[in-house]
Amino acid sequence: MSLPTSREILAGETEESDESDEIETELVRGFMLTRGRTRATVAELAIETLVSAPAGVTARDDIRDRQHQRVRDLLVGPMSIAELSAHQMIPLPVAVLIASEMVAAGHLVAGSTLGSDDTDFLRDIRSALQLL
Amino acid sequence: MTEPDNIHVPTPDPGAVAERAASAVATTATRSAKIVIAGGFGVGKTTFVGSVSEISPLSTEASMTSAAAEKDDASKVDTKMSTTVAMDFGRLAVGQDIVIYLFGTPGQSRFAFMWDQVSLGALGAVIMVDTARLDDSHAAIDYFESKGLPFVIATNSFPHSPLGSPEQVRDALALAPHVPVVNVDARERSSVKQALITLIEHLLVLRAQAAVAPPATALV
Repeated sequence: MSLPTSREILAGETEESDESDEIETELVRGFMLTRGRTRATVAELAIETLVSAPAGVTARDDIRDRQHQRVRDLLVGPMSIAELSAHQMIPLPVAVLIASEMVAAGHLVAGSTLGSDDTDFLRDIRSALQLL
Repeated sequence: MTEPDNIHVPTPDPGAVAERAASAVATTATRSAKIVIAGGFGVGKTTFVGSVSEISPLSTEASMTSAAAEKDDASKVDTKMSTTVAMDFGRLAVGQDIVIYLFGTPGQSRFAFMWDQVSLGALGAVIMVDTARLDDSHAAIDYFESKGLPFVIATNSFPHSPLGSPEQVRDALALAPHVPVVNVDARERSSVKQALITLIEHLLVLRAQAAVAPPATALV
């Protein structure tokens, strides 16, 4: 069974969709998944940020938003916001918004992102690429 | 808050979710970084990403207005007018605790709305160029130059495209002398790997130059 897409959710469909190469142009607006918001009310995380469930916390009873619950259920290990977006078939800006708000609420923890100002890190990348 | 009544959210089967998530998550890393792979439709971005990615490239819808993605389809070159746009990306582990993401981003100016989110905080960019369609790359070059995001130019090897020397490509694109220009075969892992190494070495050179340059405040 594949994860339900937002189209299936909105249509109330639970059956598996056929694996057609053609994805229909979507009629559901992304902000339907975010209760109308198009910007996060908290600082937005970068799309490559790895998010994961807080250590030692398995309960999600305190997560009221079902979209947030679905994100929480998907995470068995660290996953980037971009991957969340792809696996749940929600638009990237929507995934950024949801993940950022869940991190702010303590329902997810976020890893750090690295930039090009870290020379040691750049050397590590070069070494890793050379070993590929 | 309650869900609107007309929206039924099915509960995903926990087993299926765990199975799918396990295949998607092969990392315990917590640190990540990204590199932008820019270029026009059909120039080979997804092929480039797929050649080094440890997962099959994933696709995500980059705009807020739609909840599903269309494929980045070479058959739609020059005719694609939709406001929905797919962004393909891949993943590469570096050492034990770092993951690099490679985001393939359309290079035409009508997709500029998504560039900020993709490029902000990126290490740098590889701008892929088809030498038969050089004009497709101007918008991306202008954008990354204006944002100060370092980039290298990678000319993809297409049978139909004229072979130009790096100098000719540099002239045609009016590139600054320090911008590396490399030829790449996006299908070849070793070739893609070399293009990425060129970008990282370019970044290291820029870091070294920044380190020896006098602070701006010291300039009279």
